[in-house]
Amino acid sequence: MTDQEKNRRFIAKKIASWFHAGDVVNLGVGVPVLVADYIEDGVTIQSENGLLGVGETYDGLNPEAPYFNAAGFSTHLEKGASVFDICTSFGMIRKGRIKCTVLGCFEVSEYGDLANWARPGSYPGMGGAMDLVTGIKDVIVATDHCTKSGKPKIVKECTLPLTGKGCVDWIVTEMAVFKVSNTDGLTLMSHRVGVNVDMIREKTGAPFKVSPELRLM
Amino acid sequence: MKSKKCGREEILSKFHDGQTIMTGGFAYHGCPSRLFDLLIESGARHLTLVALDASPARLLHLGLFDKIIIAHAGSNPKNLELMASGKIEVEFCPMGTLAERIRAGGVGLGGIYVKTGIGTLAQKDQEIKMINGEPYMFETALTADISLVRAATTDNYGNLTFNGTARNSNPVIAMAGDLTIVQADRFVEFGEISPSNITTPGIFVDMILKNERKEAFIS
Repeated sequence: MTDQEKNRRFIAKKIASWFHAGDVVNLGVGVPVLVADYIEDGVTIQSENGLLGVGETYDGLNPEAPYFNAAGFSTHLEKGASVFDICTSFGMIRKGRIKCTVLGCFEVSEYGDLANWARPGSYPGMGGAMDLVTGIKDVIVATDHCTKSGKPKIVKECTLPLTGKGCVDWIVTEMAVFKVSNTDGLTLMSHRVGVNVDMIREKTGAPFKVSPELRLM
Repeated sequence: MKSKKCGREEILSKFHDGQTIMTGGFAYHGCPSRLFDLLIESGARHLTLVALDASPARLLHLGLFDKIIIAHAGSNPKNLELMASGKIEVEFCPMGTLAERIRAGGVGLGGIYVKTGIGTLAQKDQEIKMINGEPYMFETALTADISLVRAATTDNYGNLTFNGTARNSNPVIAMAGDLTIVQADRFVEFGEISPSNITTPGIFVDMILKNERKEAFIS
């Protein structure tokens, strides 16, 4: 496993520890989907293509499997799972029935603007991401702290097309956890062992407050 | 009851230049791929596509569409290339909004008010209305000249069931077409599907491609 892979697993494990039996969550592609590997029994995963109770994905593509997730991968189901049409699926999202969505990002801003669907040269469409951040109350961004070239992904203002304005509640990276408020900005809530506040400031493109109850991740 | 089963020729004759075509399916699952074959064979051009994503990729690549209304292009690099080339007009719509615009078209509504996409590129010049103190954006309903649907089971009347997540957009797209054509994996006798298990009542179906054929979900 590369360092980046290990870091992403660390992020996923951290987020998974926040969910408990009875919670219903939606996981985006990329780092978020790794969260599924660590959640406790009884947490239900929704997939916006029309599935509640997503289980383990198959190894590889299985053209005969009747169930697949939003990324197009064939998946097993959990006990008690249900399948429904696309309107019902986004209906439960808009209605606020899903506790939390975990999404990746290209950029996330000080006041919780999220950009995760388009960047120069790649403009595939927003899919269901705008619906998710609008309809679901708790939006967690799971992301590498910086881009591959070392640029901060947490910025003062997003430069890329937005997924939603002021919609993000939490940012979890391999270095730190921030609480995000669309009025008060960023607060550093916890950090990883071996990382200090100065190191986080250096790699973060926006100002942040430090919680008086700062803890280890 | 007159059977709605049709042969290829009859279906081919329904496709014409300039039509708006809706297709069920998502991420290459639950797509009516045999009806795609017929659409290609018909030679119709300058079409508009309405679909959740660009799963009808081969139609796109063959140049059937002048315009596509979708939520996501999928991961096919050729789709992105084609869309970036400017040869096709692309209208992106958030997936939940798109689904509901199709549903609205299918149930005779003029449009819907949504919060999704306000303050993003999805907001263009739509009317904004304050409802219970919150801004909502008006989105028009979508209908199609022809809807192409993939079902698991049908009878002669077009009562439909769907299987697994191949259901996705198929039931709403079945309702939104002025002419709805169905491809089914399995035929059963009229009256054989339990009324309680019918997802799409046959009243929404106009034509059924005869010859059942079980195909993979991914196509």
